[in-house]
Amino acid sequence: MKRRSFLKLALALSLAPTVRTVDALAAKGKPRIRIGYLPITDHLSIIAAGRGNFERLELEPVKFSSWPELAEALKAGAVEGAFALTPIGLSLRQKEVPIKVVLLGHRNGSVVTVKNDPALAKAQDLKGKTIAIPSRFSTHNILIRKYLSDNGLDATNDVTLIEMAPPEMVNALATGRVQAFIVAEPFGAQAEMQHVGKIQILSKDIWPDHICCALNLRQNIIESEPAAVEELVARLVDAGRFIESQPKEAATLGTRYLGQKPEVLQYVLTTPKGRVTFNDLAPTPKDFAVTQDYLRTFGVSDGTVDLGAYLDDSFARKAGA
Amino acid sequence: MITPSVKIQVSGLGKVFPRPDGSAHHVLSDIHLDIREGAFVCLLGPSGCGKTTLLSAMAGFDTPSAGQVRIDGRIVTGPSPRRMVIFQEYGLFPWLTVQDNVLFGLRAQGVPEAEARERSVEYLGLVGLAANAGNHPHQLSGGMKQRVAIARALAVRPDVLLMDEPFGALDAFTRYRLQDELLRLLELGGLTVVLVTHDIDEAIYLGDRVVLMAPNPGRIQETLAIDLPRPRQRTGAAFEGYRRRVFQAFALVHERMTDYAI
Amino acid sequence: MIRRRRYVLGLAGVLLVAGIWQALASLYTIEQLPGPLVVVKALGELFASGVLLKSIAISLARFFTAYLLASAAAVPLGLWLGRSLVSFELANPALQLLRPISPIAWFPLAVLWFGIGNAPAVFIIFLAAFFPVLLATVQGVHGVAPLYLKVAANFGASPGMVFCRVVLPAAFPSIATGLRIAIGTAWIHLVAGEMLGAQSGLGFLIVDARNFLRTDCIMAGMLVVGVLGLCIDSGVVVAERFCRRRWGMA
Repeated sequence: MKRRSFLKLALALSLAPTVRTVDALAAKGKPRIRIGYLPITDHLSIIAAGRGNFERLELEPVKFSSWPELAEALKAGAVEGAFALTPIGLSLRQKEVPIKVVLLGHRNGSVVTVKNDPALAKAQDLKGKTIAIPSRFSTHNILIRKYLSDNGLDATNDVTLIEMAPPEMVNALATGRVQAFIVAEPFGAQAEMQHVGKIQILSKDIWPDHICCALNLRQNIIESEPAAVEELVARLVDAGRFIESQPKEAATLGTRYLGQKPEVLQYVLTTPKGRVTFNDLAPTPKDFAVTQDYLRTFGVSDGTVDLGAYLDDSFARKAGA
Repeated sequence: MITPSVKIQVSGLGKVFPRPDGSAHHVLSDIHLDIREGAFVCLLGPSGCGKTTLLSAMAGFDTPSAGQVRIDGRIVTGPSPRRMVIFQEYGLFPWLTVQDNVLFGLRAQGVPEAEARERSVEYLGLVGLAANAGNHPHQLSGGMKQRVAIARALAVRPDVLLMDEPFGALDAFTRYRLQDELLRLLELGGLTVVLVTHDIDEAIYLGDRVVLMAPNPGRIQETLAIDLPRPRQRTGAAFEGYRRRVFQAFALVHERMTDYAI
Repeated sequence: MIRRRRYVLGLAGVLLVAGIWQALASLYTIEQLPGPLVVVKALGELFASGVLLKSIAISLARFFTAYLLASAAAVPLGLWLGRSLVSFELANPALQLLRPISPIAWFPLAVLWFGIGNAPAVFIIFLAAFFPVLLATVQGVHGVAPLYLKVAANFGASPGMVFCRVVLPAAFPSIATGLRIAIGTAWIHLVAGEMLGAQSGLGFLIVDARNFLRTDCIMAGMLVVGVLGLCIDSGVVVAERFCRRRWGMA
């Protein structure tokens, strides 16, 4: 008898959140839009969820701990949208997952961090070294290769690129397993703050205003709730402006969604300014075409996605991105 | 004179098992045996002579390859509570108490609960274990366990008791005591008993008849009627005489050697 | 007396480990390998913010839901497969195929079928518990001493009585062992199961802390997971002992 009632309680507890949201849906009639993100500064515009009520949707941020799980959730439709690395988004689209890009997450935002050693002052010093990247399917892979080739080095022969989860990169740098890494902030900042590494170059200086993460939404929500999507995009653009103009306040709010201390986020947003930018977020075919070309050149993928069908900048333009 | 009826009739019984190499292993071959009602028959022989298989066929656990066993004129096709088996390993259910073990058979037979309880107490009393009704088998000695098994079997009031080396796992002293106790219980009457053993003394002490079996193929070699009044003396010339006859039958007496000694 | 000695020795063992840990930690920075005192401080921080208790409650609720569901499904199925030879021969190859697959490998399917949040976590833990219990139950039934079945047949017991009064109790020790092993295995998969956008729970806490390089929080979480796992196992041992004593097999 006791066991049965405990079982019921446990079941109820675990199903409660689902019930709650179903209730919420039924009560207010507003569509629930879950947006997946990672706790990185690239996705800081998610703080839009904490800046006032939404009229036409319930925005539910869903924090993931790594790219594969986020990609899986987006693919399976477990979330209505997510900030995804452009190569990941392109790859999913190529597999005919029904998603579209409606907004960029940010521009720039990554950094090449090297061991805190005077011997590693410039790009050429990376010859013969091991560099960590988060994934083959990342803008970072493109960035590092461009950086190296711009400086006369060959990514295949002159350095060793290894894939690694971002949290492990800082420790790997400290213990000498790698001599450099390129990844989204705030991991570079954290390495700096621990005096384990130093910035060799910001990604904005490798490829100015490069795109990295984009907001991919599932097509069915765009088609069925265009008004809600419009508001969502507008509020994200607005959040971007807020971050640009009031980084300190944005960092404080960002703690709630990302989790890092406000000082870390503030450091990333201001030191120097422009490490990551939230301007000019309308998706353009040109940016994505360049990305696709790089992916092809570097042998990461050979796909061609119809960018006209994949990108939808109407919402962004309306919001004045 | 009214002759007691034949209770168990074994006719032309054979049991064959295939060997790994494909040849046939005749565990039993052409067994004929009549056991009258109320008799105590011991099946005696070395290992491999088929005595346990024969008992198993009588119980209905094993189907013969040839011939059949009839009990009360009806062919045995499966086990039945009318012919209860006592196993060497006792077969008590370790998760039940002594009393619940005895109750098991009664419940299986659909005996009403109140009557079942009464009977279980009665039979446990008969084997002297009424005080242990609440114990679990693991708390009992081997001898006590076998007494519980016997109580359990007798509680459902069978006609036939088939015992497969029931005292084989016990020490000599316990064995002697239990043999006497078994005989005492049987005085209550109504049971035909077949007991399998490799212990020559036990066979002579307990049986009205001793059936001597030999292996390869399993067969009955000789049948000895034990014409001793009960209670029997384990020592004494008469008992010794039967022992000698059994030893001779099994060619275990070195006749030549005795002659030679002189 | 013996009990006291056991506790004292056990405590000494734990303190020894803590000592080795502290010594190791002195070779690294706080971010790389924090010592026990730092971790305890982080534990306090998590407790004070309310996050710790909430995470524990949610994880335990998910865990026990999954475990009870798995046991409720596996035991009857195992009993059936154990008794029915045809069903066993039908199902066994498929089961043996699925069993070695780590529950973690099921992530993509879990997300596809159950979305994100509670359900996939429960599913992963369910899988981790299901197979050990199922296999132990089948083995338990298969392992019932033929002697017991002979005795039951001798008494003319009905198939229902044989199943409930002989097979079930005889298989119980094996089933109990399976349940105990399963609870340990399932608990280990708690952290993995909560990585799928669960947004809450001990596993999520650990994985989230990883992204902030808060190794002290990670280890605090690990410590809590370890202690809870120990408590659960001890609870199972007590429960098992109680059952055995009650059912006369101790």
